[in-house]
Amino acid sequence: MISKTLMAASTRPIILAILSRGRDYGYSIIQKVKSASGGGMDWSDGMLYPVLQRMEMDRLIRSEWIAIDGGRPRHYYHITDLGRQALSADLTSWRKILQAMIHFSQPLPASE
Amino acid sequence: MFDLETAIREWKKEFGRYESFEDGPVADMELHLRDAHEACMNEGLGAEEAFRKAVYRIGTAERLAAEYQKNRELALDRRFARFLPALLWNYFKVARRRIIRHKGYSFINIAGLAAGMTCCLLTVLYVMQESGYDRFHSKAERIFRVVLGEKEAGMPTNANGSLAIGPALKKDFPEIVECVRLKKSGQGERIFVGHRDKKFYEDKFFFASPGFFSVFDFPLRSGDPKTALREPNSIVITEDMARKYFPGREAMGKTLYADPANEGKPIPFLVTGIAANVPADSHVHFDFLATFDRRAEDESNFGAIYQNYTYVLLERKEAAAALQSKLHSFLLRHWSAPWYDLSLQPLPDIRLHSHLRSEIEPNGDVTYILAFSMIALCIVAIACINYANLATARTMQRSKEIGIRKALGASRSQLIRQFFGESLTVSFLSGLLAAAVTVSILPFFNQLSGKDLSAASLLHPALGMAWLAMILTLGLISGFFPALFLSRLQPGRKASHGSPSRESFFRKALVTVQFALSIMTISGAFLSVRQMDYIKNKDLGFDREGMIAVTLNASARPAYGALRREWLAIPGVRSAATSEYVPTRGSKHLNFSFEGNAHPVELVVYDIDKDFPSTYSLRLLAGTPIKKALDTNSGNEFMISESALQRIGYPSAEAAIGKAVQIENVHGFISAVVNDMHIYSLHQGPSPTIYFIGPVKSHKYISLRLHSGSLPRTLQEITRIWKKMVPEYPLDYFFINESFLKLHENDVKVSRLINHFSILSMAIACLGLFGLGMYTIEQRTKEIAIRKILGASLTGIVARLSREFIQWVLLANLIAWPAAFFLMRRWLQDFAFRTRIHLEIFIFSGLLALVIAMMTIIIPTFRAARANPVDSLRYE
Repeated sequence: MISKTLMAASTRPIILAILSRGRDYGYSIIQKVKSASGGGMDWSDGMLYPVLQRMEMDRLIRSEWIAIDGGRPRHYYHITDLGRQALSADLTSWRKILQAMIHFSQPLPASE
Repeated sequence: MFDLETAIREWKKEFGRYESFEDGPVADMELHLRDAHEACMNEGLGAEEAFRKAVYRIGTAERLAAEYQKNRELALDRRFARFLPALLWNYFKVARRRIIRHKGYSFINIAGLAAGMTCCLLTVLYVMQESGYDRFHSKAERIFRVVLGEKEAGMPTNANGSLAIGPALKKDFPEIVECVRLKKSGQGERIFVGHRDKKFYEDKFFFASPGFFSVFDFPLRSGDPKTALREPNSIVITEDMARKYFPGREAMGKTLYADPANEGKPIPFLVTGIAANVPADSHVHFDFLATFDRRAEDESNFGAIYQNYTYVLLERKEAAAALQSKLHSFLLRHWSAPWYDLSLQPLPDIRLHSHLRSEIEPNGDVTYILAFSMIALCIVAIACINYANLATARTMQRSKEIGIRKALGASRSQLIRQFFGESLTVSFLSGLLAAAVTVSILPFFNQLSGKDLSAASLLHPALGMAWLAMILTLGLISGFFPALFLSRLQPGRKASHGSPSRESFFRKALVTVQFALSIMTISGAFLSVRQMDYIKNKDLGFDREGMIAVTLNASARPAYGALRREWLAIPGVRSAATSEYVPTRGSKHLNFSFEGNAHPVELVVYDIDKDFPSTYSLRLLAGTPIKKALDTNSGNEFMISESALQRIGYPSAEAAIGKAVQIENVHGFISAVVNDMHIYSLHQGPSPTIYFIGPVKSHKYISLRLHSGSLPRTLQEITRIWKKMVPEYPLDYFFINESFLKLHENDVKVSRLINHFSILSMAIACLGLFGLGMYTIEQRTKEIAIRKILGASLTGIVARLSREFIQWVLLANLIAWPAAFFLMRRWLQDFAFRTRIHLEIFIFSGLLALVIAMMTIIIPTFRAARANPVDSLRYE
């Protein structure tokens, strides 16, 4: 089970990454995260929205209400330029961490 | 039957309980709920079950509200932080947190500083009004009053002068744009004014020259300021007088009758203007302004000095100095042997800097302004010391916080800025509280001080700047020592409890200074009470108890003989006399020549009847009482006062008897010498006086000495007899004692203010002592518990804990007494007659401070001593 700390730390880059592929709304974001992690990352649905609000306050994303095909208006989120920069920085950090994790997870050479 | 819409509506109500939700988030979550519900139903769940699952997945409103609340606070922080440098907002937040967490100490600090600031604001308002007198006139800087000074004296002596001065000045000097003459009707006696059944005696009746309203800005509600005082027998009255004499009717164009000369023949005056009521900050307050009666005085006689006041409006303020230098030669041009010199007195200076003879009204005193300012500063100093003391005393509680900050990299300057931030926050909150308190107690302050300060005065830009400057200054001053000490603490350092340290000595010094300041203000209060008592009880040279003076107008003079007989028949009336003047109501000054003295001597002149000395209980020091009325022959009898004796230069009362006296063509001799009689306030010395007996027709007052036991009935009877004999005029009388005390109204008001301020200073000092005591006792709770266990008695513990504080208070007396003595002596110098500064004032002040300090400390000490040692020593 993924720890809460790790989930919290990865929330922002994951949301930014999802939105970097196109605008999206809250429920869809939750479903994509669940699907991409094979159910391992099961975010609390309601807690996504305060996080989205905080990211919007930080100007990493922006939102608008859009009704598509005359349907119910939804609250769509878009990534901003600042958000793309933050995503790039976060991905760089995570790659470095992953690189270190991979390096230290390889078996030690057998001692002679 | 499950209905989704109803269920969603009920679910949304839960969110409405939390103010951190706005419509946006709730709408977001509703959409999410619907999507999740649809997804669950697609998985095969029933509608209700799908709804419950979706709700569960979203989470509780309470948990979500907490998250949204964090975002709200962050948004607020960022909004303020945009205007503030980095970390400053953090300082404010830390300060706010500390204030909320330590409510008791915060209350002591904020209340103390707010009290000090309130005193400052009130003092500033008072000083602003006092020093702003007459500045509402747009031409104030160019208006000067022409005052007289005795040639030898070199300084102005009289505010009044001759009617001849003004027109001659305007004619001779082109730099004088306009000249205004103002005459106060009578010399202290009240004037009869009437319209139909409205008949009163008024004391603010003036005559003014036509240019009055072009020089002074007293707006007219009705009438033309250019012409209102042009025609003879015109009168301008104030709004209050219009309502008094013409209630519910238009006053303009109506006739008002007045008897300014007290001849018993009221003159009709046409109302040609209604003026706004004169504001409080004017050196002259009129109710009636009439045109001059040109027959009343000789306008060419420079030597005829009556209640006339001359004002000149110059083209430029700067012309005053040059004009002043020409006034001596001006007098010589118009008067062959002038016995006075003229000076120009700036209009704005009259209120605080003019204490000449015959002022229109008693003026203020710059000494009082200084006294108030000092007391307000004392109170503020006490409050600042409280803050500094409490902040440094609670050092140990902050050592952990300071240690962590330093360990995380905070520099000393950052810590200093933090502590200043805290003190400025407290100062700002105190400033807000002080402004609110000032507005609410302004009516009470007005009552005490006799002012009419309004809350609108607080909106003056200068006051706003002063308020901000005060907050900043007090915040920095009160935070200085805590910032200095607390920023020096090292991480990991442990301070020992109860052992002498530099901080402990510093706190004792601060408390000592606090109490020294309080003892000083209390001593000042005691002294001012003493001086007021002295004024009330001082021997004025005549018996003032039960003495009334009745205005004797021309109508009543023919009936005086009958009035006197009937009044003396009233059991409550002991004696009666007539005179031109009575103490506190004006005087006349003339020059007399005396045998053996080369130069004429100016003396106060009292024209009296033969019963005057006995009615006023004057003591005969030498000679025989005067009995003969004055006439133009020789052999006239004069009586002089003791100070007249000294002014003339006779070595003793006996040596003066029989000495020749002359004034113009009247010759006589000194028949008697009597004690001095105070006719003015005790700010002035006794007036050298000469008495002679004159006819009743020249007398304006009847003095009656009454038995104090039956005053109301006696007064009723006196009034009844007057109404019978003089039905057309109401009776006008006053008590000499009340009139005398009224001369000291300002002193009484100042004394009351000083008393209240001193109480406040002691209260703030005690507040600080209480807080400090509470804190110290908190720190020694374990020590107290152990002493109890080891057998110490309750009184022993209380005595031990109290002793330390009491020592500081006793030490404060050593500082306070000399300083208070010096200041009190300076204040008393303004009184020609003053009480002595007795040692008991200081002893009593010191004891009072000690008793109050002990009561402040003993209550929490007693409570701590009574606590259960088990509770105190329990390890947590």
